[in-house]
Amino acid sequence: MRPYLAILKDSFREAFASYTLWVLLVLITLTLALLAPFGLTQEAASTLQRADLFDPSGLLDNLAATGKAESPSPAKRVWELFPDDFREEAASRSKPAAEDPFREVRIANRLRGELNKQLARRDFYDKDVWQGVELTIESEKLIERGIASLPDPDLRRLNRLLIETALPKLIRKSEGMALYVSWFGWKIGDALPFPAKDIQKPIQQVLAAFISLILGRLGVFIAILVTAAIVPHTFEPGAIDLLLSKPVSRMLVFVTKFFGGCVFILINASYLIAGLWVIAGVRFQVWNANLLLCIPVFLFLFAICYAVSAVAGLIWKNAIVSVVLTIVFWVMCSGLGMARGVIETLFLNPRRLETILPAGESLFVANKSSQTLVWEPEKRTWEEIFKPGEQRRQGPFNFGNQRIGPVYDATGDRLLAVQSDVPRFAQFSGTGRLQVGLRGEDWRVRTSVEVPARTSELFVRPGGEILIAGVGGVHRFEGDPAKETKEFKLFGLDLTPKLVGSKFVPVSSEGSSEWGTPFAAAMRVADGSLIIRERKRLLRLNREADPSGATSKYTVAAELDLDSTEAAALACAGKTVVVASNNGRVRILDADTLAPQSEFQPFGDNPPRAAVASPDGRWFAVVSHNRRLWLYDAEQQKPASFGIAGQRDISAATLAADNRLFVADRFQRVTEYKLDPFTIERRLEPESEMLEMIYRYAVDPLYLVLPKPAELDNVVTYLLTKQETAPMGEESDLRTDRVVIDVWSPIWSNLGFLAVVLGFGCVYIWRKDF
Amino acid sequence: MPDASVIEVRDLRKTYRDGWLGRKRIEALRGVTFQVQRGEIFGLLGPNGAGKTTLIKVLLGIVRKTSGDAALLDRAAGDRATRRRVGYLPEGHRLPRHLTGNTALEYYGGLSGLSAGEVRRRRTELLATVGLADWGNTGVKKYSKGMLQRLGLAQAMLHDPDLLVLDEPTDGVDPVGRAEIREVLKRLKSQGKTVFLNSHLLQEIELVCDRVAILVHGELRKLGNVSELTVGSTSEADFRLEGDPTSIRNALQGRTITNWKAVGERRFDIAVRISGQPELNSSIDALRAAGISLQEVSRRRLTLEEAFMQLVKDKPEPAADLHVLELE
Repeated sequence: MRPYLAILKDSFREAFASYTLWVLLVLITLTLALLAPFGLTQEAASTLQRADLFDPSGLLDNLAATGKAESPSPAKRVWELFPDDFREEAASRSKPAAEDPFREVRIANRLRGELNKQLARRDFYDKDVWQGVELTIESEKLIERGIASLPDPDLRRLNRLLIETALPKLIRKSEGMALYVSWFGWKIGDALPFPAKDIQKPIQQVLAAFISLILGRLGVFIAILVTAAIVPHTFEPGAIDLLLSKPVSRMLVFVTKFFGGCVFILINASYLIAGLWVIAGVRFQVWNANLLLCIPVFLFLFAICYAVSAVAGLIWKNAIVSVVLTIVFWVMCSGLGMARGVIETLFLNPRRLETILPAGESLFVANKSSQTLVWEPEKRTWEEIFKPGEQRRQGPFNFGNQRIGPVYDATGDRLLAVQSDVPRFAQFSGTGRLQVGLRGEDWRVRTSVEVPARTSELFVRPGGEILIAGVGGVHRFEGDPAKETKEFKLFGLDLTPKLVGSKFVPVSSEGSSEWGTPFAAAMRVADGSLIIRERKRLLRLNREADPSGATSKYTVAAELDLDSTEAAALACAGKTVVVASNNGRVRILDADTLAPQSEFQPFGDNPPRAAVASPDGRWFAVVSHNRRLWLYDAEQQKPASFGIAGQRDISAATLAADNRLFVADRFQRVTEYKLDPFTIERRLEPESEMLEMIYRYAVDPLYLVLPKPAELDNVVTYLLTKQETAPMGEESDLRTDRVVIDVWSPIWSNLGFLAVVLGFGCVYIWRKDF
Repeated sequence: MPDASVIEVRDLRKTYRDGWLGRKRIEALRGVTFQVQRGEIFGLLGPNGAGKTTLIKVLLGIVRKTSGDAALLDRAAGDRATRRRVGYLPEGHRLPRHLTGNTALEYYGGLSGLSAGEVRRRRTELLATVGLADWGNTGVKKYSKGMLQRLGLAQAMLHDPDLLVLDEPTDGVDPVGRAEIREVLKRLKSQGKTVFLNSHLLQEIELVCDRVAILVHGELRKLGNVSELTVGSTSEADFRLEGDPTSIRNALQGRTITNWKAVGERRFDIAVRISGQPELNSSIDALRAAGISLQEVSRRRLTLEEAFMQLVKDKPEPAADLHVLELE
């Protein structure tokens, strides 16, 4: 053992004798010194952030309308303090013109800027204007202190509170304190969109990105350059024969020399990561010991590249050849991973099915591109129907779900959906129009009225009544949804007339207008009752039959404090409610009393994507973002285990009558199962296209076999967040697409590759005459 | 194998393969057989490419033999445990440039299985022995070639081996240093150590070696002590003769006269090449029968260099096409 320890010790000696190491250590010290002054500063919340304006368009409408009123009001005060040009622009605005689809966004930004300017005004509060308006206790205390003498932060806080009072429901109520990133005490940028207690995850994500970039790319590259000469020098004539004359094993000399070469990156990675760990702990109170586990991860990442470098050095005894071959190898592996990612993200994932709608003989599905498809048995393919309007982004860059739905209304044999108004890169914009497709019209889209702001769910009650739910409450549709609105041009502007007689009418109780995020809703199909999750509360809303008939409302029949602000997916049927939370916890509750019955953690800490229930209330299914399916048998009151194909690749599931389960996997395949007794009923899978074939039979197998050095970044993210998926957008919306982090596959394939390469080196040195 | 043998080699062969798919064969050792006794200083001589370094590498297990037997300290050559008892100084060795004299000894001592404490105890005396007492803390990149040789010798002796294999130990060392190294070798011999010395410097071999082997083109040409090597081969006899020159020439007819010098009236100093004592006796008989007076007769001993050159020239280097065989 002693000879090998001598080699290892010599590696440390060699590393410390290297000028490059000391230069890097100085650079790391400077980097840490630059990062150390970063910290958090809290001050009274005042500045309006983008997310604070729920509906900028509605807010401007409201302000413009109030501005015309004769009597003074807080909203009118806000309107009057806007500059003239902005008031004119806001008052004359109409629907966004086709040639300027971002006009609304531009005006919304200006609106936020103007409101923020008002925060600094000492004359904003006018006693006469606020006469009779109920102010918050905090506002009153600030006014009592005397506005003229209020320090600037307090003045801004007062004006923010006054604006919130002036425009209730349109502006988010601010927390008492706002959190800023600071450097040497100087604030940087806008307030952070989360409270101090939630700082853990963002800091960890920033750290993961920083470490991946600095160590995973730059650090490894420099280390390869510096260490490339170690093995060639060891095995050159005059050095190797002296080494091999000692009582040592040739293979162990090579392996020990290889691990000795890793000392360089060990020293640098340890110093940088330990430094970041201390800074994150001392400055941000984020003491995450898993950060230190990044040291072996990056050592491993370097070891994969260094194995190639070492074997090349062993064979050719030339440092330049080692470096070139290592870089070629790195580029090849990264290129393959990148090609796979591009094919998946841009071409295959948009086709991945995420909604399944059994509708009698027909089977409808919707994919991530918001396309609605129907299975054509004769052609054995999915045909697009119910095509949305031109606003939907076309082509490979359509990542987002810009639609709510579709849902199938069996009563009217029609498809319903809410189409987003604004063509956006990511998720549903919050405002949109109801769309209807009738079988008789070959599912042509008919566009109906606008839905209320911040809608997030669409339901059809057993009798065919259309309901939408969102933070703004529950609304039911009145009128004929198949009646279309036709846009027309006037002086070059696209205008949409109001549909007479068609509208959404609120049907939730008074309190529901105060709902907040995270929000989710589910309907019990049997009686149309709703389960609502808003902020920490879970509510069961029953539709009380009103004696007068038409104006019956949903009222809260049961309430449960979930004691968590984690987003959740809901499903309700029969006597059971399933609440699947973002932290991976799945709770089973009694549907009537909301009393907890049992709790499971089927996916570890991984978040669910959706929860569904069978109409009879026996079966429940939860699909997770790491593409697994979990089934619960409410009759047996325990999880059900079946041989469901495609686990780790399941993107959607639906339960239907007669114990039927539909599962989507492999991008476009749907399998129908019967659960009691368990049988596979049918498999619907269209013929693969060329790109999919290349992906499945060339790119993916190669990717599986070759090492994945770059994918170890994901392991770092996993270590720091403990989640196998990372959100691509708003985290509070579970429907947001998430990047699935394959944590273990890169580790195993990289380990396998390392073993093969080192094994080859050992055999080579064992057979070689020096 | 007798106990006294430290190295025993029997019909040792090594063939290197080179070229595309190893189709070219180079025979580096062709049936070498010899023994080295415990406590002797054994010299290995040979021209460049004779196979000396290959022989050493086979003995140490750095190169694998093709056939034959090679044993070191009663174990098969290359045995890992045996290498613990061997100190090796390779020709043109390279020490890692980040080391100092002291850390180099720590490193190679560790490789030989010594603890850091043991190395520290021995290194001061060792460095003094090789003349580097004041250079222990200096980086080896500042060492001259001769100093590197001395440090290499120190690392070979560090773990107190029973056998030292030294390949060109005085290469680059100044004459004073060479004398010091010779003294070291003699001291090692007095301690009962065996030294296997490979050198181009015939004088070094002549001065310190008990026995010498001459290797030419992978074959062992001669093995023995220095006197055997210099006497046992073809030499010359010097005569001072008085008589008729024609009679002298007639008496020595058939023999090679390499020198003829008149030193007086009818008196001559001549040199005659002879193959051995019988030819010298018959030459004397012939001269006396011809009535020549033999005033002085002496047989001249060859230097090792002359003997070496004779051996190398006697059997010329095999033609390239014989030495390097193309496989069919």
